[in-house]
Amino acid sequence: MSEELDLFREDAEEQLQIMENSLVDAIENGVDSDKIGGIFRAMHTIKGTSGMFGFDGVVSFTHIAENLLDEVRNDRIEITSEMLSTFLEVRDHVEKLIEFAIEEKDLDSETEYKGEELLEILMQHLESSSSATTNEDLETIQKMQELLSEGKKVWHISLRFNENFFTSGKNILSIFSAFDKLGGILVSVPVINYIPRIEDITPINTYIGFELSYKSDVGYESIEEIFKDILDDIIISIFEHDDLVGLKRLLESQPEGDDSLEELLVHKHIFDVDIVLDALIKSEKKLLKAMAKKEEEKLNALNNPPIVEEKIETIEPPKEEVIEKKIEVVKEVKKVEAKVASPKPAKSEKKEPKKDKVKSFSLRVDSSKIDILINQMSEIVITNAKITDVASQLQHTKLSEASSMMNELLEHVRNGIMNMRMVQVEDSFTKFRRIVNDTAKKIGKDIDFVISGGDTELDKTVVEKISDPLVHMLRNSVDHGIEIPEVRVASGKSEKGRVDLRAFPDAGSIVIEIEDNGKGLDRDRLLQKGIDAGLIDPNAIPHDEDIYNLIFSAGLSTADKVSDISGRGVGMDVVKRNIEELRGTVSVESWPNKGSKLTIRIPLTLAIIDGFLVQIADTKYVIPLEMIEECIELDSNYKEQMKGNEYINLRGEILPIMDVAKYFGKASKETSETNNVIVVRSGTNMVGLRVGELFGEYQTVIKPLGDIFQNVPGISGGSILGSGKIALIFDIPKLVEHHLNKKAI
Amino acid sequence: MKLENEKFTVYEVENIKEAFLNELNQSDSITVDLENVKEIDISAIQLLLSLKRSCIEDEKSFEIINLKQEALRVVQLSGCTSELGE
Repeated sequence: MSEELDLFREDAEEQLQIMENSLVDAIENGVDSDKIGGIFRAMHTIKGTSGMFGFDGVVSFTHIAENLLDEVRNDRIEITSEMLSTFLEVRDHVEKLIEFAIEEKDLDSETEYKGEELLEILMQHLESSSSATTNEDLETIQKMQELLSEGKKVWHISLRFNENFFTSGKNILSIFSAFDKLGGILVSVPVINYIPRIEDITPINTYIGFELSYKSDVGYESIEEIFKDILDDIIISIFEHDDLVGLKRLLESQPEGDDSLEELLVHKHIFDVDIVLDALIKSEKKLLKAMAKKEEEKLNALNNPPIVEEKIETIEPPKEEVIEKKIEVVKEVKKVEAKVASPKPAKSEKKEPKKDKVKSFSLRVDSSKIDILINQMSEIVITNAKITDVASQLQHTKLSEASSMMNELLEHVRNGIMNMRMVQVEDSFTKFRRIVNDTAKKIGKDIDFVISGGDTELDKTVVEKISDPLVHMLRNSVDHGIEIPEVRVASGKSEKGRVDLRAFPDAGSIVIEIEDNGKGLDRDRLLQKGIDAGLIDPNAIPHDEDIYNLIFSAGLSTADKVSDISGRGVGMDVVKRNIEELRGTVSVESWPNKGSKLTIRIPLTLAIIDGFLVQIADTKYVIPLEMIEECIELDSNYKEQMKGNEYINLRGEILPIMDVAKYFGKASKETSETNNVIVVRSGTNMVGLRVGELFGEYQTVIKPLGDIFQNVPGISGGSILGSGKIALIFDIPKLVEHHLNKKAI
Repeated sequence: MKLENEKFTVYEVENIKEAFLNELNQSDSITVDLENVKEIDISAIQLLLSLKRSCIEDEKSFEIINLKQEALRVVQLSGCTSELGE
């Protein structure tokens, strides 16, 4: 796929996401102009970009949706909840259309049928509006947009006539014919609002005017040439269709207080409403109207005092006294504008919060570019480690100082680069809202879905990869966790179930929790299934936690019936694997009749970690710093306590001690000399690792190890030390899990 | 009402206006039959639009029937189809 197409897809996905979020929000919390605006813009943007790629199917479909949204936006159609649901379907359909378009495939019959069905619904709504757009109009607009996107010249010609034009013996029709010869009239819209009633008309006077869109490759002069004989009898304005200044001048030339032209241009879809508004805003004379029209959007942005709003509302009645007020309002508006525009607001004036104004813009960067940067950053970190090494060998104080300073700076840069990859989980989470609602609706459950910690930041790739597992778990919670309303009531709970999705940072990782207040996991059934599947020794008395965590085992489902949502017993094991691929962990807790809680723990970043370098036997190892609780020395006191056992009493708590060297088959005389214990924590488990020499903090660039190491539990990767040697990075959760399990058996 | 003229142009519009005005005053639903009209121009379209406007304002129905090919071409060329139709 070409880079452009990639960008298009990304952008479209983003727009569809915005649309979905706004729709879901509107369904849940009611409609407001911001949401409608967001939905409209999404359709509008997709239509525009699809046009650039010649995806006609997408353009024509989104166009209709956009039209309807425009009507809604302008209060000509009232939006209903059915309409919102329709728009959700529209969103899905557009997504499909884009997919087909990108893959250059023809629509399948199902999609085609759905499209027709949706179009029919949309058209029905559109027809209910007074200013419905006819199919004919749509075709011309489409054509116009195609031409524009192909880079063809489209001219706009605004034509008015002197009053005595008809009697001067000149013929308007010959102008139209001439136009037809030169290129092609795309749209011709008569301006009819100056034509009086039949009683008042002087039929030989000219009242009518025309707005034309005209496709031609010829220049301005050739068009003007057509009018050369009648220039004295007409008022004409010719500009290229995308020339905002030309449009601005045309609108400025209209009589004050007369906005019929703007309305005509927009209603007849000669110009896009946004373009007209832009032109209006640029035009000082029409500023007032633009203000009135852009109402909330603009006013909110200016954070204006309420007086202005009041006054703008009084513009409506066409009375003479209004003119005075208008001037006032313009002044008022200008004041506000000036306030915003001037960098230093006058002291007497109320301070405007600048937050809205100094909007930072975002830059779309290919994530691979950041990856390259991170990779190079890693190299620099390694090189600097080498310098530090050399400096300490030479015992060169100044070099040591410089390199440690360098280290600090590199850390800043590293954090900066890492930060670029960070995104808030909010958007991704909101997406789940719909999935949860849809799932719940499908199976007749009523659920409150509560998201918290949406502002928690996580690496973008992690967010993407965690998305599917989360969806799966949420579906599970809705499908299996929450009971149907009758059952809930019967067991003394509120009719409405509740599913919480929480994210928060904790000890260098991000924790994501999914909690429901449903019936909880069926412990006995799980246990039985576990025994049946040979996962649990029938004679052992396993811990509750171990039983619940059986849900992550392959091929185990406790659901009595397999629904199309979940219950096939494939899934949770995949979920676990996916999360582990991200160096994360997942666990479950459950309380009968109270609900269950899934906890996912994932590291913040993927490429570099802060580590702690230690020597064990003849190899150096890195322990992720965030896992380390403390370092203790195994003095004779402790040793006495141990008496050959593998645990010590650490301030009243039992701490299992793991001899790492022995674990990796390195048992030798050195072990007796290893008196350092590093206490690591993984979840709720603490283990003391018995290690050799401690080297201290070390910025570790994770390099994947080859396939050979794939089956070594407890090692997650390698890192190149300053000396060029390799250090192995501990996968603490795995190591701890492995150690504890071994002990249990 | 049916126009008898073959031409409906700037030379005829003043007379036709009177006819239109009469019709508007007498009737609650206006139908303009253009079967005989072979030639129209923009002033004619303008007059028809004026009549339509009056009808809409007075809540009377308005309809143009039997528009001949030649006349239709003018209406289409000037882009007035939807303004005169419905």
